[in-house]
Amino acid sequence: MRGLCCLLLLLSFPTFSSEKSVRVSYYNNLFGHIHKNASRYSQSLSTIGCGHPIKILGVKGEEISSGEFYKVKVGPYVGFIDKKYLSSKKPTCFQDRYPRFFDNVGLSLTDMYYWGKLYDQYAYGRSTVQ
Amino acid sequence: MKKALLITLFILFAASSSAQVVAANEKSSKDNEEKGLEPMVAPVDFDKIKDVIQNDRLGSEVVKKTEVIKKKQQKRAVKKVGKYNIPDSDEFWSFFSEYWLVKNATVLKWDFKKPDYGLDESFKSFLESLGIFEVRYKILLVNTPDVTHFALPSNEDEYIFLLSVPFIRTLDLSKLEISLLLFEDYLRVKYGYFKNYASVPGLENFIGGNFYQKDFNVNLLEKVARKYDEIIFDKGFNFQQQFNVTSRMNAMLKSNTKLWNGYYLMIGKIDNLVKTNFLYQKYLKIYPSPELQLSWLRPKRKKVL
Repeated sequence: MRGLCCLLLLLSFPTFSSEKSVRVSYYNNLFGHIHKNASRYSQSLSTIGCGHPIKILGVKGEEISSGEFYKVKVGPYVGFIDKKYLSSKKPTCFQDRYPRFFDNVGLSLTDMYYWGKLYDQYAYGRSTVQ
Repeated sequence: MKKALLITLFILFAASSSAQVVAANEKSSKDNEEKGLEPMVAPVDFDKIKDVIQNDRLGSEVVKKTEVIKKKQQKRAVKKVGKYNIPDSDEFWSFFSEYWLVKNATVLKWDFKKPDYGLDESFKSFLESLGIFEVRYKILLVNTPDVTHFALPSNEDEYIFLLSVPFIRTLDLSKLEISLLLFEDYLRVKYGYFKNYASVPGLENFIGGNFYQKDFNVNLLEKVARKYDEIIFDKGFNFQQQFNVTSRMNAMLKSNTKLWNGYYLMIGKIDNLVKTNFLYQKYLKIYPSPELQLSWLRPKRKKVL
């Protein structure tokens, strides 16, 4: 039993230690969430705003992704974020283009939370020329 | 001996006269200090060194530097004023529609786990089959029968659709029928019915404006939000608007029997629902009226003599 525990510990240790930040991306929507699991309905760990830098985690230089989600680190939180909301360059955010308007609209923390949730709930589409 | 005496006398005279000048200067500067003026400094005659400065090109350098400083100040001023810009109509409506959705999250109940109905794909195929391209859309499913289906104004060529899950479940709507419903809403936004209704006086000047050194008009935004409430929950569209939309749908779907039949049957389903289900009585206030829509769609019978 003790041997098995040691083996498990040895096996698990390299996995945790080898997860490193591969690159930095920026959140490109008005608000969003870092999810606990790779699902848009998963619990929110933190609400983030547009332009927030996000470290994408990877192993041996390869990003860790699960479906449409990247494993990321934002501040103290390690979670998942939808790939389509990330940009490699810092986006020109609505908040930055209209800062005083944005301040005066007076969004509460609850509003910001729901705004982030809104983007998780949308089904997006676009008709294109075939 | 006589020569040496003469030289000594000259030195003494020169020393005494310079001492007198220094004493006089000290006295005048003391007087000036007492009067609160700056001590007298011999003025520099710039005219005399003008040629030197011009030859050194220092004059043009000063002009250049002044211009650079002026430009920087202007840029800073523009940036400062620009911070008070209000989004133009291309960005305002999308922002405000989402703002309204956020503020009404608890009423609309859109924050819930739902199955993937694949509506994004089916609506895409539907639009493309009608030859409507480069239209971006967001579909938000709501868990309330109060808002059955609606399209909110958004950016250019972008649409936000609301669709009630209880409504589509009660009617057991197919993907095609849902696409037809969304397309009706698309036409309503395209005709500008919503924007016209929500555009309160003063909004036109507000959108795309600037409020630097002015008060921010929060009341105006509150009025627009109230207009959103009114049109979505209470007033909806009038008969003329409904007639225009139905006629357009008729014209666009006529060439495709499957789509036209689907539309006609779907309106029939809704007509039946609003007549039998108490939960959806309000539908008639928002979209008057399925019964009339059916009569507008029905081909006219011509009398044969």
